[in-house]
Amino acid sequence: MLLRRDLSRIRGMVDLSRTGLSGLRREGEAFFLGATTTFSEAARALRTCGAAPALSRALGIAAATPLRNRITVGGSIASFPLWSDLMGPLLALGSSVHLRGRVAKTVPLEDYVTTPDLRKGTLVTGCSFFDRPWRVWYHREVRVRFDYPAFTLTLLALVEEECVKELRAVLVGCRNRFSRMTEIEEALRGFPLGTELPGGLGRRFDVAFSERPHGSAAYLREIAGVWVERGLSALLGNGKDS
Amino acid sequence: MQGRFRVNGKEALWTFEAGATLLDVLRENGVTEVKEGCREGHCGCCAVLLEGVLVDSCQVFAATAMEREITTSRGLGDLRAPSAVQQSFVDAGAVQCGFCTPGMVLATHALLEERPEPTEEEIAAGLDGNLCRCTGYVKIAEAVRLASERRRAGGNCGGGGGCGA
Repeated sequence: MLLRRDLSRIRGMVDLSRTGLSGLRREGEAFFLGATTTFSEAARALRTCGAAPALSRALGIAAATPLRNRITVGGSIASFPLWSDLMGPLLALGSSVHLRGRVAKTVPLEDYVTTPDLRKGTLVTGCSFFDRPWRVWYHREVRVRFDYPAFTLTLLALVEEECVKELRAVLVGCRNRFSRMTEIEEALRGFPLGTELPGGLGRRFDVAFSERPHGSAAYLREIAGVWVERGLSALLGNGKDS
Repeated sequence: MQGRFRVNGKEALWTFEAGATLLDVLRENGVTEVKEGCREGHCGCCAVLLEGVLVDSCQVFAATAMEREITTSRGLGDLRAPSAVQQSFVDAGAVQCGFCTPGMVLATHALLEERPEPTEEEIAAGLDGNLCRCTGYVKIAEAVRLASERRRAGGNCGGGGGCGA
């Protein structure tokens, strides 16, 4: 995005890639991803240690190879483009953002993206999250594989004794940029695996889209519902689409 | 501003605007095998290896590439001593208009460095940032498989001359 601006009047630049804010590290039970870690580096590091498979998968298929080698976690959090493959999994994991500058503290990612004041005069130094034994399902709605996604869907399910203990469902790319589908999460709390999913889940969440090159707002809403049902079916394994 | 660049093992001191992209600085200084395509990071024609990592030079500020090793397709080999990847593109007929070829060659080189024996899926993923306007993808994928075989066999080009991996 910076590349598209007129920088002819600037007097100097700070190259953040040389600030040492790169890499994945473990801090107790949490994982910390440095702001200048590229998508490729993050996907590789997460895969190596078997952490956050939804995030690892999403970053590994985002954009295209040369861009994954360049796009950073911090830049993507700060700019949060509609087509982000990073934000869905991060929001679903309940991540926190580490800030320096005018506001020097760690805040929930959800607060960071919904509170403009937190983004003024601050530098994202990284993000952290706790990993749990989630069942994961991730979908990017694209016309062709190298396309920007119209939206992404992240579903995480924590299963105990063959029942859904906790479900997290996040859609990124809607009119409000992202939506936590709490209606779905609550409807399926305690759901016993292997049984028939309740009907009409694809219509049971409140998400609005804008008109996009990928399709009309109505089309995107309809197709999002279809993918939510397919994803839940695959994730909770009642057999139909898994 | 001025900066020192290392391109294909050679050092150069170049003057450029602070907001200039690496693509612009390379081409303004005669490194024209790096092609200018979309300038938006979609087509991969301007691909280079920055410290061995495949990037679109149109998406890199030149200032961030100073003092770092930049490799273009010319740095992998030349007419007299082509790399296995370059020779494989020739032998597989994977060059039509040729505009995407420098980027395709570099993407293939980067892929094979990481995955010496890539699957079809890995080939598609490794080259997903490079577009061929002639749509010659079948032969390009064939060239990647041929290069993979040759590199694993010790870098033999299969043609008349010797070549590096």
